Amino acid sequence: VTNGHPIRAEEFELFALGMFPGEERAPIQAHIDSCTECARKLAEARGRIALIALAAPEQNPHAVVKQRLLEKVRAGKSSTIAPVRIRETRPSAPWWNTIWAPAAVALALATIFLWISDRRLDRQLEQIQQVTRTYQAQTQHAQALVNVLAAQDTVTVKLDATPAMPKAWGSVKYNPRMGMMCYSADLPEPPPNKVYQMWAVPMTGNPVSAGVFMPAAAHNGQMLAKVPTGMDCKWFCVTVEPKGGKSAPTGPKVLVGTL
Amino acid sequence: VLPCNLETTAAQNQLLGRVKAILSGMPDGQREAIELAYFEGMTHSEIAEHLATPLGTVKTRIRSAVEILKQALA
Repeated sequence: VTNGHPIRAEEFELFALGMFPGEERAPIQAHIDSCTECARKLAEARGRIALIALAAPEQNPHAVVKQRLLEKVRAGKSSTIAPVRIRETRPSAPWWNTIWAPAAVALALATIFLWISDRRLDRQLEQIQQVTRTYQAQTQHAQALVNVLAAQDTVTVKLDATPAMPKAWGSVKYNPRMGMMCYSADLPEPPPNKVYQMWAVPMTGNPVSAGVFMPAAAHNGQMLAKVPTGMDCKWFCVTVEPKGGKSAPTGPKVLVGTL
Repeated sequence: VLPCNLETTAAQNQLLGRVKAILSGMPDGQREAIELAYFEGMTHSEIAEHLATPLGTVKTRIRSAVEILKQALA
């Protein structure tokens, strides 16, 4: 203590630097708060100490740092401050933007609308094409059937039931020139995982498959099959085969007909 | 924003140059100690621990640095 002051003149800078521990600092601060002379000396010391900051290497801080600092000062506390969104300064937009902006929006909307319409039309077109393909296949099938049925050289063969299925019946129309045959049959449902398979049996050689079928299809309409043209076909028979058919008959004969 | 004119700007630049010269003229240990005290807010003990230097040495360095600064700016 000098002349009633708890701090020496050369110590004000150290006090301003915060070099005094808490237990020493409190009574000195209390004295400075009530002593005009010490308060003035401390203010001068703080001014000198503050000059140290000027000696720090100069850097250009980001704009957000200044904004944060000002907010911190305004808040008056050292609590965490929410991140500041950086707002870029841009030159004012030219007047024609007022026309282009709505036009761009309208164009974008029109594009979206046209794109959606296009997608809808694509789907409709695809559906129509699918229907057309189905009709074309049916037409070709019907035309082929008519050709076989109307041909002068088409022969009809009645298929007789066998003891394996006594109530069954069927018929085959065969045109060796066209290499086509169509048939219908009235048969009960085959056993599970089984199908009926039509065979054209030549005088010599192995039987030729004329396709597999289920009773509903064969009963309601004519089954059409292509067989080798000019085949010297003499027999037709229907066998029960595993689902998908076989390359040669393996199951029991349920219908047999002779040309 | 503070008012500014050519005279005060020149005076500020001159003062800045002097402070820089004073600090750069200090021995490394002194300058480092006072910078840690000012910029990092460290106490004597923390600076001593940070620099692995005796506490008394740190106190002396800071006291000397402050004295140099004070006399140079007087």
